[in-house]
Amino acid sequence: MTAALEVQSLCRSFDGIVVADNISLSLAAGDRVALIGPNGAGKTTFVNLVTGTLKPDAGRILLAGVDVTAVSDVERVRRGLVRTFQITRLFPDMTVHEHLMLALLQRAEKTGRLFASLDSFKDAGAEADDLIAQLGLAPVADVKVRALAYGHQRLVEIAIAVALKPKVLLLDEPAAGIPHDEVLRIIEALERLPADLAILMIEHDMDLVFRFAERVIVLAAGKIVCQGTPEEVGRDPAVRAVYLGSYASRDRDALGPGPTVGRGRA
Amino acid sequence: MNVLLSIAFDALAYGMVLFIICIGLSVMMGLMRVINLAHGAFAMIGGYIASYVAGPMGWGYVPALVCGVIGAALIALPLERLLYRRVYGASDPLVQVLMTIGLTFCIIGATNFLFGSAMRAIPLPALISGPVDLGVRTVPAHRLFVIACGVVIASGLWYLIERTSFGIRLRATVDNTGMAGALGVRTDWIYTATFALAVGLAAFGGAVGAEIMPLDPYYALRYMVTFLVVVSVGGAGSIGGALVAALLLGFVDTTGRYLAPNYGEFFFYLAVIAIVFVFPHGLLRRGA
Repeated sequence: MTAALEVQSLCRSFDGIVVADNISLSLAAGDRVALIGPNGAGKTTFVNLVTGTLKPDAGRILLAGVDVTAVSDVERVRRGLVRTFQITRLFPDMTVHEHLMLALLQRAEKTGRLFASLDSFKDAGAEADDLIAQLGLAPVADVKVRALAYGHQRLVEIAIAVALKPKVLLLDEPAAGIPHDEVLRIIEALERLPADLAILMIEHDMDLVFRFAERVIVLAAGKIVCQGTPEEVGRDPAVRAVYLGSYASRDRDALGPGPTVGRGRA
Repeated sequence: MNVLLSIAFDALAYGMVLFIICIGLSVMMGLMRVINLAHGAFAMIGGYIASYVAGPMGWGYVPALVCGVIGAALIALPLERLLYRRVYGASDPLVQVLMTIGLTFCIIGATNFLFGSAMRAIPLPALISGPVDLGVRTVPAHRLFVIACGVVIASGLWYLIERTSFGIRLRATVDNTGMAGALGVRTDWIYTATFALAVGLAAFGGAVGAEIMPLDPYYALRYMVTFLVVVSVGGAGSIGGALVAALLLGFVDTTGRYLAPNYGEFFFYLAVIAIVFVFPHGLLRRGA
C-alpha cells in the first residue's frame, strides 16, 4: 500500500548549519507517530519543509505516492496535508463557528458563491456544529476566539485541521502552554480523530507522546537518531544521551540548550 | 426652520458622499494596514472617467458611474500589484505615506495634462436633476439619490463582510494572513479584491458626489485630509464608525459653512480635535 506521507532523504541547511540531515520517514494511513527531540533539533524546520513553508536543498516529499516537493504549501493543504501551528494562530475577531465555516468552505472550495450568505451553506453549517460538539466546544461556539481560554483555542486549532478532512495531519505541539489538567481534554479530542488519518505529532510532553504514539522518532541535530515503539525509544541509550546532555555537550551549538524531557509535567 | 432643514439635508448628503468615499479607505487602513493617501486621487479618477463618459461620449449617467468604477479599479489594479503589495504592513508607515503622496501628485499631473485645470461636471439625468417635493419642503433629487446610495452601500458592505463567504475569508486574512494561507485561502487574491473594492467605492463616491465635491485636478489634494480625518475619527476598519464619523463631520462642516461662512473649515477641525481628544481610538473600533 502506498504511504500516506513519504519523506525521502530531506536535507536543508541555513548558512552552512545543517538543520535537516538526510531525513527519511514514512507514514501509512492510520499511523500515530510522534516526532520528539531537544530544542533546536530541527523539528519545526522539518514540519516547515514537509508543509512547503520551506524549500528543501535536496530530497523528496510524496503524498499518497505523488511527488509534491515542487508543489506550493496551499496546494499541499488541498491535497490533504494539514498542520496545526506551534503558536496559537487563530483569527481573534472570529467566532469558533466562523472558524469552522471558513475551514469547511475552503475544503469544499466553495469559491464560486463568494457573495452568498453563510447561512445558505447548510451542509457546512451542520458539519461545523457536529465538529464543535465532537470537540466539546458547543458552549463557546459563538464566542470570539480572543475571549477563549488557551486550552479551548488549541482545541479550535485541532477542529479546524480536522474540518479540512486531511489524509495526513501534522500536530505541532498541541499541548504546548496548556495547564496539565487540560492536556487530558486534548488527548480525548485526539483519540476521537478518524482512525484512517495518518498523524505526525511534534510534542515535548512525554505523557502525551506515550499515550498517543505507536511509533516515536527521535530527532537531534537534524538527524533521526532513533525510532521505534515508545518503550524501545525510552530504553535506547542514544536517546538518553540526547536528552541527558552528553550528546548535547559534544554538539552544543546544533542542539541548543539542555534537556527538555518532562516539560509541561510540573 | 427652513434653514435648519436645508442644513440637515445638505449635511446628510455631504456626509453620505464622505462615507461612500471613505469607507474604502477605512477598510484599507483598518484591514490591510496601508495608509493610502492616494485614495482621493482614485475617487477623482472615477469622477473624471464618469464625466468623460457622460459628457463628451454622451453615454448617459448610469453607464458613466459604471465606467468610472470599473475604470478606476482597472487603473488601480496594476498599481496594487506593482507598488502597494510591497508596502502592506510596512514597519515604517513613512514609506507608505511617501509612496502614496508621490502617486497622488503623479495622478494630479496626469489629470491636468489630459483634461486641463478647469472644473468638470457630470451631467445628471432628468430623473435626479430636478427638485423633489417631500411635503415639508422641496429638495434636490440628486441629494436624495446620494443619500440612498450611502444607505445601500453601508448595508451591502456590512452584509458582505459579516455574512458572506467572501467576508469570512477577508476577515480571516486580515486577522491572520499566515493562518488563512495555511487553510488554503488565496490571501493575495483577497488583498487584490479588497483593494479593487476600496478603489471602486472611492470612484463611485467621486462620481455621485461631484455635485457636492466639485472635480478638478486638485480634488485629490484638497480632500486628502478630510478623508483621513473621517477614517481616523470613525476608527479604521469600522463600517459603523465611518458612517457615524462621516455624518457627524458632514453635519459640522455644513453647519459651519451655512452659519459662519467666514470661518472656513475652522469648526470642522475644532470638532475633529474635540472628538480625537475624547475618543483617541476613534468613535467605534473594529469589532466593537
